[in-house]
Amino acid sequence: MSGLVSFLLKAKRRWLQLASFAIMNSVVLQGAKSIPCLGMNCYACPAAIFACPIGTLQHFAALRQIPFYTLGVLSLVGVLVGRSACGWLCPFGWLQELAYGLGRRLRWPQRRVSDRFGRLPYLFLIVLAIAVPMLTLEPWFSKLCPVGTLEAGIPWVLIDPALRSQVGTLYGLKLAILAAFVVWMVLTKRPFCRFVCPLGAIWSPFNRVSSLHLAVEEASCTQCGVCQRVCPVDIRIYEDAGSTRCVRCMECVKACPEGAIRLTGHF
Amino acid sequence: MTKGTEAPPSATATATRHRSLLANRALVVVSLLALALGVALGQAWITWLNATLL
Repeated sequence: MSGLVSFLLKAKRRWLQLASFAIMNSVVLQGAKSIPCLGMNCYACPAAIFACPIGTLQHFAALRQIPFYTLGVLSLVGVLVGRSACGWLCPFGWLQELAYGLGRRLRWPQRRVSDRFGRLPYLFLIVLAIAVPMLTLEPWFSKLCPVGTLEAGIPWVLIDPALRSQVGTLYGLKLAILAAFVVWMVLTKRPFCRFVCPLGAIWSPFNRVSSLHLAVEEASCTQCGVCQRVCPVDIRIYEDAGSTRCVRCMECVKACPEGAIRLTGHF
Repeated sequence: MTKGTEAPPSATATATRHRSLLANRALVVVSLLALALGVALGQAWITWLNATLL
């Protein structure tokens, strides 16, 4: 665990996110689609090699079965590293951070959104990713998911002429949802992660009990707010070091001028 | 990485960490069991099927 802690503090997170995106969509290793993807990456993408865990969850919900395998993998990752996969591996999280960075460079007005909406991901998980597929036998979260539209819906319509003729109202709705998120992610930090992502909702509670965790030394912390400024999900880590919203990106650990935030682990 | 000294942990903080550690250990075991059960039930193959063909 100390090796992992050391690696996370030294690694260039942006490069790892880029590598993760490339590997998850590297076309090769198609047999790896039995492995749940550790991030939001649509398995309908022409190049995707892993299985979207939310897509899998919906499929098993429609079958009225408990996805022990997928939940086992996700909970094992969660109990070891909490939401670290959100901060280091998730391609859509990476894209959102790039979009927000672009917005800041272009000096577009940044919009803060109240954390009172922070429980919405649980609603999306329970209702759209579990209950609705169970009742309708259709993966409605995947049908509307902006990740799927970006990585699969648009590429496949461009690649396959037969699919173009089938484009209709639902496709228009998917594009509208994606467009709304693209605008939102330029103006607000990681909006999909903070207010929608069902995978983040699954991993969030594990932040409280994970082997890898953050600690804040109250004696050293001056509450200067630097941690919130660099935080991709806009939280004040000194208020709650085990915050369920934290994506364990370690930006606050690196940025804290007092060195009050520590990354630690036990196994 | 730590600057400055750490204050001795309070009894409450120690008890909280102990509960977290127990929960951590229990969840590791449960996760591994769930994973193994899922594989035994053929869910890894169903996952592949769903992600590849559907």
